Amino acid sequence: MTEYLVMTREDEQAHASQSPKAMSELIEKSATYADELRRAGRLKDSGRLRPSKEGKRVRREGDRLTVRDGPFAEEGKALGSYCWVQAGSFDEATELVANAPVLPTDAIDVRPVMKGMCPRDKEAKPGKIFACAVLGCTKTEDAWVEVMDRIDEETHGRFPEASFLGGLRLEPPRSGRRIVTRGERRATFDGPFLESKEVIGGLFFVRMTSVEDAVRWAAETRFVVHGALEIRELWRT
Amino acid sequence: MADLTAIVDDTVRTERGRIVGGLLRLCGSLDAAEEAFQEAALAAVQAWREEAPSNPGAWLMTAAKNSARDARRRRAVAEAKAPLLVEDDMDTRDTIDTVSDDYLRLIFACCHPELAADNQIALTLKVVAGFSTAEIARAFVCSEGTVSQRILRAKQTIEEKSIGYGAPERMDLAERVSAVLGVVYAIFNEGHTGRSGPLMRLDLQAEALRLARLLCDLVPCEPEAFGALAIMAFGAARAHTRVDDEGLPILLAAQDRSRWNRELLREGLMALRRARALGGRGPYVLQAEIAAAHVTAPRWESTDWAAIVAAYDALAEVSPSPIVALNRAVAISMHAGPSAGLAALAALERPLADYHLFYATRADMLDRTGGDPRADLERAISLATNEAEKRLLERRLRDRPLTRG
Repeated sequence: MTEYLVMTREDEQAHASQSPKAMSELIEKSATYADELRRAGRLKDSGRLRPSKEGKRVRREGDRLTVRDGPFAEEGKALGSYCWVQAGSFDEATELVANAPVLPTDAIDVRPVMKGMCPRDKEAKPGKIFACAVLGCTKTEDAWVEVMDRIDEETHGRFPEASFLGGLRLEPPRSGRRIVTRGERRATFDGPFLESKEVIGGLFFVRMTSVEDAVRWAAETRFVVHGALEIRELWRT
Repeated sequence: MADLTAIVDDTVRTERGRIVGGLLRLCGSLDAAEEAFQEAALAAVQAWREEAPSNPGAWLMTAAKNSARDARRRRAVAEAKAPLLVEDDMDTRDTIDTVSDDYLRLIFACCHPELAADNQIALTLKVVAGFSTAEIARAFVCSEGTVSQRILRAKQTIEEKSIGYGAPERMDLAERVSAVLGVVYAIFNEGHTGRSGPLMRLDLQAEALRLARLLCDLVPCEPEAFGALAIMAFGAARAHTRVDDEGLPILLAAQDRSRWNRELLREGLMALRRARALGGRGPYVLQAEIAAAHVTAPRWESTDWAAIVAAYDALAEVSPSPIVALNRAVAISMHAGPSAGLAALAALERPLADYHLFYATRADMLDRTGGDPRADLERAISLATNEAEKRLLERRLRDRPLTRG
């Protein structure tokens, strides 16, 4: 079994303008979908992010730390949810997510996991849970891998033990796949998606009292030296 | 520095609860903790004149701990104890768990079941939310003296009953959470439909919502906390469509659903999802289910009344009350017709003889079956205390002959 991270990239406006009934149905379908994956023994972890306008992006430019407020969107789409699954092959993983409940405007990225430490009971502990997406922004894959390696070395021990909940490092973008809806059908594209300026290289989870606290801790890590961090609160599900 | 006051005010309000909670552990008394916090807030106004610190919350916490430590030394000297014997446990580094426990300790003390309901509310708004006595008095349309008395009595009760500020016991968590939710919900309802004065006080509603969110962060495995958050989020989403230009209430059936706040609806739906995932079927979760059925219906006519009746049946079992029975009767009348509704109301006249909404409800059902609702409407008007509700009922009575032709 190999592990894959499935991420939805969403047109937030389309989600925000859903009718309450459609909103409720999508939420219920997502819950059922995650339950089914869990029952089948395929789900390691999943989560849904609160709107990107509540999020922060932290990066260092020279000596200056910059913190940008959301909303964030690449080509009009923001990270919306993630599912950490196990599958026998890439095709099987793609098949698993083919029926994921999404809006037609959403894209689904499937990316192989290089290594990871799965958060256990992350929903059960007090505090707000934040997903921190490590963003790489280099033109070539080699440089990207190097950047991620360097960031990876710095992952551990940077956060207070009680606050760090685990996370994962993804394989380079060329190994990923993107699924989009075209009319009635879903079409699949292979990576590396170099048209995207910033590609997600990993995801980790922290528990904090506020987004400001999360930004303060993030600023002390090396993530923001070599790349950027997008910090987004998770809904508790 | 035009922003200075804003930064201080903002920090003081958002950080207040967890800092006072932390001080409570160190000082052992609410008054001492509040005093130390007050000193720190005053010091901040001075110290931040040059430049606001990068972490205002941490700055305030350190300053408040220093004040508390000084006060303790002064007290030790006054009581002729050697200052060196004062235990210094103030430098332990806070983790997210100790901070959460501190906050919870404070909230649990303010909402302790031994305290009278009005006193709980006053103390919570003062200590946890940081409202001034004047603000609380305005919100509850009473004198500042009354509010001060309530706060004083609440603090006395805490002293007398030795309620103490021990670490929150995880064992009776559900019970303590339920007491807190009672207070938060009362604050929300006061903002929703006041006993008197303007129909809605949105600042109270916003504060109740903030407290409910905070509680969900502090006790993330208690389904009732998420149920209560869902109810309040659904209520707040509809708030601005509940009153017409004249300040009269607009009934759910006639509200403009397109103007309901989608963000708050989503928050409510996500909270309900969490409550369901935790297996919650308590009173707040069930009420949230009922509210969800209402807010997700595209139109009043397409409301899923069967689901609502089922939720009321369950609610009548876990928390039976005449009010629940009244609302259940309304749902039955919508699901199975007004005659079935009237039958369900029959047993309620005695327990609800003084409740204006019983008569208003029966008037509505009588109207729908072709009966004469006038006596019930008159009774409802004479019992209603909220001026806006009274005016609405009067309008119904006045308009009747016209609509009936």
